Amino acid sequence: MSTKVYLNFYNTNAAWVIKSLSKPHSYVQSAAYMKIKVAPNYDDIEIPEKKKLRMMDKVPPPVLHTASNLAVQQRSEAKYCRGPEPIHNKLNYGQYGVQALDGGYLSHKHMDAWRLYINSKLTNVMFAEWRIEPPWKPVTKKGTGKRMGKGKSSISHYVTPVKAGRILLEVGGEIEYKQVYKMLRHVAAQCPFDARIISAEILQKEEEQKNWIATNNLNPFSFRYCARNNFLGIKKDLSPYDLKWSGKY
Amino acid sequence: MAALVKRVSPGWHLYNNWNFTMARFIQKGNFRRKKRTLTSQRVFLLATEEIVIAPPKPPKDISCTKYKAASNMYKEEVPNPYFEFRNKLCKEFLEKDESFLICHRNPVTASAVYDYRMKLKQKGFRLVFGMTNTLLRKNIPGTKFEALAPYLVSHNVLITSSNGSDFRSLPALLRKMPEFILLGGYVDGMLLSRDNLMKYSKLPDLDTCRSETAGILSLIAGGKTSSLIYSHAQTLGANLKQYEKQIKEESD
Repeated sequence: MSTKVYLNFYNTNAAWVIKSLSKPHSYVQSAAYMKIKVAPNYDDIEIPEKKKLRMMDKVPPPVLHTASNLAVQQRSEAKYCRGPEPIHNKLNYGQYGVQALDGGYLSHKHMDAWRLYINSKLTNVMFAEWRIEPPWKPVTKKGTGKRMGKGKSSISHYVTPVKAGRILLEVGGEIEYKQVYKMLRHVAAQCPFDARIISAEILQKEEEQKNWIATNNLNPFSFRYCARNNFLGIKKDLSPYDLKWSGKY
Repeated sequence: MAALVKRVSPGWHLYNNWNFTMARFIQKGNFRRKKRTLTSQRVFLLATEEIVIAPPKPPKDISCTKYKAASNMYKEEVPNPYFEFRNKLCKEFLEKDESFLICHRNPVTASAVYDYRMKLKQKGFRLVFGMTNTLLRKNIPGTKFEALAPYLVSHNVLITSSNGSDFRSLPALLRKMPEFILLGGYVDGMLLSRDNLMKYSKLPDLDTCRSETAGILSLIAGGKTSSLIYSHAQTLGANLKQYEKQIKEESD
């Protein structure tokens, strides 16, 4: 009983008072200024009704103008993946997204994995949307051990071609870049090409920088002019795409 | 044979490349793996590269007068009411025209800081932690405290007097506080460095100075000069003539 009292006494305010009196001057508490972070304003954001990513079909709907309604094989054309994306390179909702930095093909496996992961991470104040089409381009494959020739083989799966600069996903709502980055870095890492996570600020800054460089460039010899006029006989070593896109794609 | 012909033929270096030899088993085209660039292409790219002179960033070791203008050029300051409030306090502190000292603060424990604070309080001084270097540097240009800018660089502490006490006793007090290193300050309307502060601390009190001047003045009243001046007229005249001769000889 006596030990209990001893321990309790040390934890009371009386003990604290006695301790402070033993010092030459009493301890005076001083208040400090509290740094309060202002919360961001989300009044301008409109969340759509369908917040989650929809399921993409593995096989596209049948082509009706063929005689037998069967899918037809297509050539494996690189034109769908080559060059910059001219149209779908901006954010519709003006918040955050994943942008492709190179061209390539995306299959149903990628889309399903991203859909399941992102839908599990979305909250009530967040939404996500696809910016790519479901797979439509057929890819053929020969069976194992088959020799070359004997015609084009049958369709094995479908893919969507993507060009450099295309936006694959958009995520928005009452969130900040740090939260979105944690979610979307897995998407960017699983892409078969280089991809990055962007926001409207990043795109705007890059545009401003590009315009500033274009106006303040001191070099009179631009790639476009020199290539078209065959400076140094360089047309021998350039492709027609370099003349079109100034050696960037 | 075919390999020999290939090596001897012109343009062999262009075709000795994996990307050119592989024509089969590429279903989707080679737009993922970038091709090796030739020297002519690399030279061309370097020649047509954009040359841009970026705007210079403000250097770190410039005087306090230019720091504010330079930092404002490259940064947009968002108004924050909390910082404006603290700025106001700093301006009031500087306008009070109170003397203060700046000390560099080495890493020190909280208990030691408490002890030092109590020692200073006993002598009538006050430790100030709230006036940060950024605040002071913003409010100093254009005032008489401009020359204190080199001291407002790293972890600092200000010492002010709460009762108007004398700052001459501080250097002796600060010897017992090894973590606080004296840099300089503003004392009695003068900006002083460390050396000047040590000299200032060795100066005598006002009373001693007054007594000294009184003693010097009293010598004039009751000393050798007074005895010579108040002596008889003849002796005064003879002394003055002798004094005149001495001056002439010295000038010659």
